[in-house]
Amino acid sequence: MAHVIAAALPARKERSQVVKARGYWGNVWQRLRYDYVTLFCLALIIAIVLLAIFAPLVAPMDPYKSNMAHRLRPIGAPGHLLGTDEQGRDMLSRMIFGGCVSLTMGILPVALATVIGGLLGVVAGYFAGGVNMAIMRTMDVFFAFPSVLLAVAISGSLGGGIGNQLITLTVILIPPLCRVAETATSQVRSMDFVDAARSTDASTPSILLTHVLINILSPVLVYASTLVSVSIILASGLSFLGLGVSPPTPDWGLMLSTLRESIYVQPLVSAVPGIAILITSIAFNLVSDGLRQAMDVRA
Amino acid sequence: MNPSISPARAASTDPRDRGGEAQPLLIAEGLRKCFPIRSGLLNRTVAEVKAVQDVSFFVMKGETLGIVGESGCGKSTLARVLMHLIPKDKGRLILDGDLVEERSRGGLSALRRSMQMVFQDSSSSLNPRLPIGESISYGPKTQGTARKAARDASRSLMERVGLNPNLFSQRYPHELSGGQKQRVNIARALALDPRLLILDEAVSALDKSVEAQVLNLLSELKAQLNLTYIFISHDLHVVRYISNRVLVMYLGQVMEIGPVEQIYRKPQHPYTQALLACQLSMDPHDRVEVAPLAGDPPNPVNPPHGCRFHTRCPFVEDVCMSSAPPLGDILNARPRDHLTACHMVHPRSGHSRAPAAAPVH
Repeated sequence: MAHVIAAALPARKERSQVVKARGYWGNVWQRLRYDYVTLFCLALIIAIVLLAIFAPLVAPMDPYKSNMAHRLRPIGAPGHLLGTDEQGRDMLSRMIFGGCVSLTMGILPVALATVIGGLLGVVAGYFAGGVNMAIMRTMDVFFAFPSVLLAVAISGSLGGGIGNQLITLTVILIPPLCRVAETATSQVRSMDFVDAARSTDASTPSILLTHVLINILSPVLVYASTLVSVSIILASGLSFLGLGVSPPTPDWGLMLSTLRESIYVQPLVSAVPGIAILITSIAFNLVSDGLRQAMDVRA
Repeated sequence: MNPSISPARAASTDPRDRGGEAQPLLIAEGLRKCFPIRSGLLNRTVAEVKAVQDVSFFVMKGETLGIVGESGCGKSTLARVLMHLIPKDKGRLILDGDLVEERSRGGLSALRRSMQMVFQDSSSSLNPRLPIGESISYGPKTQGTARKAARDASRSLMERVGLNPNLFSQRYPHELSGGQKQRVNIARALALDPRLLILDEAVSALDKSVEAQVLNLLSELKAQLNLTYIFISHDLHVVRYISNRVLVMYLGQVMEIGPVEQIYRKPQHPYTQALLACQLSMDPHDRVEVAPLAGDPPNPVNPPHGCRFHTRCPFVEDVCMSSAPPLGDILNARPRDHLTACHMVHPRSGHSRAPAAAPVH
């Protein structure tokens, strides 16, 4: 009996070990699978994105069609689930269409800034000395201004409009992402495996791609995901100040701004865009929190 | 006791050999590396850490040169300078008769293909996001080997270092034990088919049984692949076991160099004597009651004048404080010569213990 077990054991061990390793992303997914808060927020974000993309199909009414007879209807008014705004336009439809602009302003600048800032940070972190000095001191200049002030200044000089708002937000988000990438890179740079790669006479781009980028990905991506909510709020702020999209384009920030005057008449309706911004940014923050936990574990 | 093969045989059978048996594989000539300490508003250099100062030595083909010394004596800096991982301030490297030209990329890549290094910290020396099979095949791939050939080479290297490629090639470093990681490091260093392997404390972090396995593996690989080792360690027992010759470093300088048994049986430099006295003995009656070497080494920013060891030497005299004892003409010495940088060894040096006439080897 004993030798039967002994014979069976190594075989079973062998089989369990031969199973192909899941890989890094496989492990991340394994940890995320049981993180229900993150999954719920992820689903919420996907739902908002889908609503925004398919807005023309989903929205019950035309977001631009005003009706002066039905101004500032309360939430739950017949035909208007979320009420109407100060020009009698359907709030629900405007929220659905507005999500498109707001989400674009949340995600696109962050994506652009991650690529540009990340690249600058990797270069600054890998080549210490003069290159690092030049890049990081330039970033410090941007850090010296409060981000909202800087955004207003850049937007003011470029003028309003979606394109300029995109540029403004990207410029604002580059310095912090660059700094995170630089810190992570200089940590990886000091590890022996980079020296081992250098001693194989590999080219610098190859070392950066194979050995550096993959190891700084998780801090940079996680940080970038926290910036999505910052970007949405900044974009809303700029629209609120009249430096972003111009009326009558539906945008959460702009809606918040125009409904501000009606806050004593219909406080709940005025709060709807704010609540949408709040929920979206909290969802992005929680997802980035979950991602950080899932990606950070060096299991 | 020493399992390594004789140097002469190794050189004669290697097709990569250029200079012949008598030509050392690597000659280091007057290597110097200082790290500047910058401070102040203008980032001016206020002082220098003199990590490696005028170190010269040679490594014969097929031999193992052990480098010993306290921590902080410049062993690891020397290894990184040899590998060109940090630029040297002064000195020349001659690889099998060819001067290594740093300015030309060709000279450097030839050096890098012929010399590889196994790092001390087995956990930080492997990319945590790369399966170990790919870590091993990375070097050949960057040298232009086809993906498939590089993968096959990596699998056969894993077999060579005692890891089953079916079980291990897809694994990540965190799934491996310290000994397994160090085997992977050795496999990766061998992937470019080097002639010289620099082992920087390669077994120091392993526990004793694993250390013995890895040492045996290194001995086998050396015989199979005609390797030459520079074995850096603070563990004197291990160095004695694996080395043909030993170089003793103190504060960035060579104190003594010679064949392993001569160094261990008849150490000439008081520092070597003190180091050897620190070794633990197998005999419980043979206890060392007083630490033979007290205190820390002096600050390498301001190394002592004269002999670097005079602040801790029991035989210190005026001459030791005023003039630095020469090691002798190390580059023209024979491999079996025993050279010591100490006034007590050199005749007419002015030290009261110095011999009257030239020492007989």
